[in-house]
Amino acid sequence: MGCLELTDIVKTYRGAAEPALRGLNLSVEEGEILAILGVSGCGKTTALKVVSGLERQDSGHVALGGQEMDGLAPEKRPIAMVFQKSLLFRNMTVAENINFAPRIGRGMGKKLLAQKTGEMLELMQLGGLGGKRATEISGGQEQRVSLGRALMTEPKLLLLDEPLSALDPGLKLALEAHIQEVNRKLGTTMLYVTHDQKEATRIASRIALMQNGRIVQCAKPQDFYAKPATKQVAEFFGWENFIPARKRGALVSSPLGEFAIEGAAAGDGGVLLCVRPEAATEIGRGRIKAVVRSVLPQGIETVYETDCSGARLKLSLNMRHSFSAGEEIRFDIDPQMVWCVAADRVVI
Amino acid sequence: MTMRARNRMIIITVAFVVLLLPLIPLLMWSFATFWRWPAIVPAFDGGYWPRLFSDTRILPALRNSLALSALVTFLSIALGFFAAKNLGTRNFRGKRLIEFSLLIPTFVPQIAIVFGMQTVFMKLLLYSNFPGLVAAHLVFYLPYTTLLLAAVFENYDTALEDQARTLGIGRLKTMLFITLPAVRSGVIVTAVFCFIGTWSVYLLTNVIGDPHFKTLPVVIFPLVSVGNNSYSMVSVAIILYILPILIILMAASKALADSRLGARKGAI
Repeated sequence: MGCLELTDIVKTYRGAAEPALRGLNLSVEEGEILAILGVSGCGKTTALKVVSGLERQDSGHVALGGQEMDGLAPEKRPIAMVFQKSLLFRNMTVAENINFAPRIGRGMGKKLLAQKTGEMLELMQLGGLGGKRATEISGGQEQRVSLGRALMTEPKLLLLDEPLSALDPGLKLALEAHIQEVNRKLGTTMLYVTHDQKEATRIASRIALMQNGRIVQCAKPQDFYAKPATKQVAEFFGWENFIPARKRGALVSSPLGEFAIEGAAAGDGGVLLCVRPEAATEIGRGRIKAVVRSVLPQGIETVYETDCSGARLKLSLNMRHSFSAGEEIRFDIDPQMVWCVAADRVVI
Repeated sequence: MTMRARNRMIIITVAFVVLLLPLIPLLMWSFATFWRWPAIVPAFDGGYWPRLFSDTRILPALRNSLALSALVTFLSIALGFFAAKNLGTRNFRGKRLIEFSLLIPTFVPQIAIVFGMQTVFMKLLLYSNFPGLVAAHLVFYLPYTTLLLAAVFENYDTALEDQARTLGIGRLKTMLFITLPAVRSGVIVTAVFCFIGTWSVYLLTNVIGDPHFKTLPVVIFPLVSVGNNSYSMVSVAIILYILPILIILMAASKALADSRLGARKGAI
């Protein structure tokens, strides 16, 4: 059993035509960073609000460390949350923000409070800023304060709702590394919500991809690139070619040829062969032929839209190769860059 | 002195001149029984001040006014606070209707309502007594206060409360340490407006409170209107009428300067 278990969570907001969560199931392991990844409006933030107790689910269960959380008020749950906005209390100093929970909530003694505040300021790399007003620090420092303030509650689970989305790329990378370091040092289990697949890939040990209020795949980041569960997951992670094919056992037959694909969930019969645009190898020498339909230069790479035995195929080639529309390309496909997913309606 | 400090000093000086200059003749009259032409200043003999404490109308009326306005202001803020918070921070069906109904006591002339209220209040034994006047003032000032506070809450970010609660802080402490500091300036301004409003009410207080409960406006109005010869007494009464408002405005302006104007989104 994981640290956090979400079972069949359903949540519909009052007045909404569609549920925000439609049977959400998720298990988060002790000490890991699990990222919930999905586009805006897919239910990520609602999931965090249900876990934190800020929203109550219509049905389903939330359990933390084997203990039912359903019906518990947010302040009674051993869960802290960092929001997209830093939400600092601006009438307080940085130190007062950091120690807000133990000072106001638990009435911690002054000596211990000062010691813990100092330690947290150091951990958050905010040493020397404790006496500054919350209005006098930068955006990155604000999010560090927000993170430190949440960690001061010593939560069993820390929820992070797109905490870095408002920061510039350089700062974002630095804070991602910092969050990972905090996770390693304190061992705090973290549930991290983002819409940015690269951010999720960098920060999380596992990713749960969410679509329409459900988790459609929960796996290690590299699995999303190599073994997507559905066409939607594949699209989200940059797979662009979906070629109707037929599967029999591990063998997938397509206009591009036959591929042995082990471990795909799709059953025998009509499937979609997924081919990454970077999959072309042996350019100019391979056994597969395709005719270039259009050329889309994209910096050091060029995307060629081709016609390959009746199938549309996008190929991304580096600038060493150059083809024009109407020209024939010969290539092979790297078998590590193909996968197959189920197709509802496949005609071949 | 910095440019900002100098500008501030100029504004304060102008405000004091505009506010206090008209009060100077009043102040002079209050200390003089006679002021006849061609004297530029009156003969100061203490005026009505020495007799104030034996007066049976002005001081009791001042006490009544203070008690009534303070209690109505407190109750209006206390009772209207959560309604205003919901109106200002949430969207729900019927919100516009509620806002409109709260506006009714403000734009319908008081005279159209107070005589009907008098009949009802008599039946409810709320006529000519303190609880009755508090209730009567609340009819007008609770909706007014609620609307003003709702406008304050429109700029308040409830996510601050969510943040506090996920830090393990209960509802009461969240209200005390997060909500109230965030809207403090707006609440102070609303309270000042409410106090000044109830302090100045004449018609309603006269109709519902008369003859046993009189406030300063109820006492002052006949003194001024019937050509009373005791200008000193009238001046003393008017000074006592104006003084609490000036004190409250000064105290409120200090509080506003300390806490910055209004609640801001995402901030306290």
